[in-house]
This record gives sequence, structure tokens and C-alpha cells, in this order.
Amino acid sequence: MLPTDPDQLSPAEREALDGLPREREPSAMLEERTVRALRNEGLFRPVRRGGINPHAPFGWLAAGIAAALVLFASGVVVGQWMGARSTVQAIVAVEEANAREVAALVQQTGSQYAAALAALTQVPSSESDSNWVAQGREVALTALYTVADQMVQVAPDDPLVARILQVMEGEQRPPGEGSGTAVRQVVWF
Amino acid sequence: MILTGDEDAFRQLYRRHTPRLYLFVLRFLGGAEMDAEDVVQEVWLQAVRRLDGFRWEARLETWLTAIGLNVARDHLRKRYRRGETLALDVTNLPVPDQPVAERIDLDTAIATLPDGYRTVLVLHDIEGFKHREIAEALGISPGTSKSQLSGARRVLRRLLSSVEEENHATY
Repeated sequence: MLPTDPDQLSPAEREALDGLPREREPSAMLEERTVRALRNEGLFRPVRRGGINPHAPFGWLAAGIAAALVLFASGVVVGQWMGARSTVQAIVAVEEANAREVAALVQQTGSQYAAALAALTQVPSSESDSNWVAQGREVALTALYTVADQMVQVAPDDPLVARILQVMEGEQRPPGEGSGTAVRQVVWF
Repeated sequence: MILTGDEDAFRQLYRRHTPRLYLFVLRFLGGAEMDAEDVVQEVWLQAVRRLDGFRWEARLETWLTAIGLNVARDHLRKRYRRGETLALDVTNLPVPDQPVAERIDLDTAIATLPDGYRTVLVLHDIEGFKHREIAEALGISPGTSKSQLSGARRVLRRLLSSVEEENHATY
């Protein structure tokens, strides 16, 4: 079975690899699980807007933060953007979408996120608003973590992103967990 | 079809593409069935979220494989960060339509390779990726891809020859 050149596959080895099956059914539960997850994310139906009183300043602020964070947390925004459109609009959007539009969308929502956080810091401290401010901070932190997690996929080799995620995961890790280091057999993971 | 946002349309798409995606991920992860299912679910979630980023001149299958590769790689990376060892279950490996002992041994042997070896071998020798594509997908150099593949084949031959020796010894 060994070829002359050890770096090349012999015909028998090639044939054996070609003969491997290419498909396998997962468990039937996976389909239901996946559909349920998509339903939970609202990806099978339009996202409703409205229901927020624009005359309530903090309500508006919280809505702004929430909207920006949801967009971030969905992996550079696209998912919610799709979910918010009707079928016809979605088809048009898919056909017209390009990298520049997506990049612009990232920039736009990033600005909204930063602006909403800046506004949060300007909210006068009062007892009645403190819970809302705390909630805003919590959501902002969660989104920050989610964004960092997504950024690892967008820019897996960026050392800054890796460090941010590492620090945040360290903060979230229960005490005593993950202190050991696995012996790695390859260099690139 | 999935663009209609219709659940039935999604299910059709899911049933058409999942068996291939699932086996690719299962091999990539070394036969860890539960992990492979988690990855496949995440692939579909990401695919539906990112549908606008899909270039329609490409094949959906290729696009799903690319997402699957990223998600599976991320899964391996998280496993390393958590310090987990691979819970290999070779009984989850696929059985070919025409059971041939050598083929079963080959898939089992592939599953037992170290992660780096296995992923490059699966991508190159089974999925037909070029070294340049593997390098781009995994964030390594083409030279590293070649050396990993060379190492993978070397270990694989050793594993298979030991199986053959065992069979000969049995009979």
C-alpha cells in the first residue's frame, strides 16, 4: 500500500479514501432542535417593531441600547436585518447585498452602540433609574462578550481580539475551572 | 426557497444538505457525535442569519461546508481553551454502504489522528481542498498544511499497517 514517494498517496490509498461514505444522517432530534432554535431567534417570522413610548426618555434610551446590542449580538447584524423584512424584501436584500453594505451596516450599528453607551453614562443618577442603568450595563457587557466571541471568527488571528475574549472568559469561568493547560499536539489551534 | 422564511422550505433544505454536512463535521471533530450535532445546528443558525452574504453563484453545499469548517474549528479551539480532551467514540463513525473491513479501519484510524493532522487530512484527502485553501481557512501557511498532511499520512499508514498485522495475526 505504500507508494514510492511517502508524501504521495498510492492508488490503493486514493481508492480507499474515495470509497469512504460522504453522507450520514444525524439523529432525528437534530432537525427539530435546529428548527426550534431558528424559531426562538425569530428567523422564521418578521420581527415586530414599535410598542415603545417615545415620550419616555429612558424607555427610548433603553430601546436604543437594546436594538443596537441585538444587532451586534447577531453576528455582525445580518440575522436580525434579514428577520425584519418580508419575503419579497428579503429576496431583494439578498440580491443587492454586498460587502460594502454589510461593512457600512457594521459601522452604523457600531456607532449606535457607542452612542447609546455614551447616553447611558449621561443618565442622571436617581434611585428610580438605577435599576434601568444597571440593566443597561449588564446588557452592554453581554453584548460586548458576544461581539468578542464573533470577532474571533471574523478575525481569528487578531491577538487583541483573542486577548479580550480570553480575559472575558476568565471573568466568566467558575472558580477552579480551567486553570490547567491542555497538552497541545498541534500549533495552530 | 429558504428566503421565503417558510419553515417547510427550510426543512427541505436541511434534509438535502445536512447528511453531508454532518459527516464532514463528524470526521473533522474525530467522531464526537454530540459535538458534531451541536456544530451542525450552529452552522444552520449562522447560515440563516447570514443568508444575505451568500453569493448565489456559489453552491450552497460549499458555503455550508465553509461555515461548518469555521464553527467546527471554533469548537475545537474552545475545547482546547477549556482544557478538555477529545472524547472519542469510534462507534459513531459511519459505516459504508458495502461494509469493507479496510474502510471501517480507515475511518477509525482517521478519527484517532491528532486534531491538526486529522483536520488537514480530512480537508485535503477527503474533501479535496487545496493546500492554499486549507491555509486560508485554518489560518496557517500552505507549508504547514503540507507538513501536517505528510505527518497525518505517515501516522495513518502506521495505524493501518498495525491493524493489518493484527488481522494477519488473528487468522
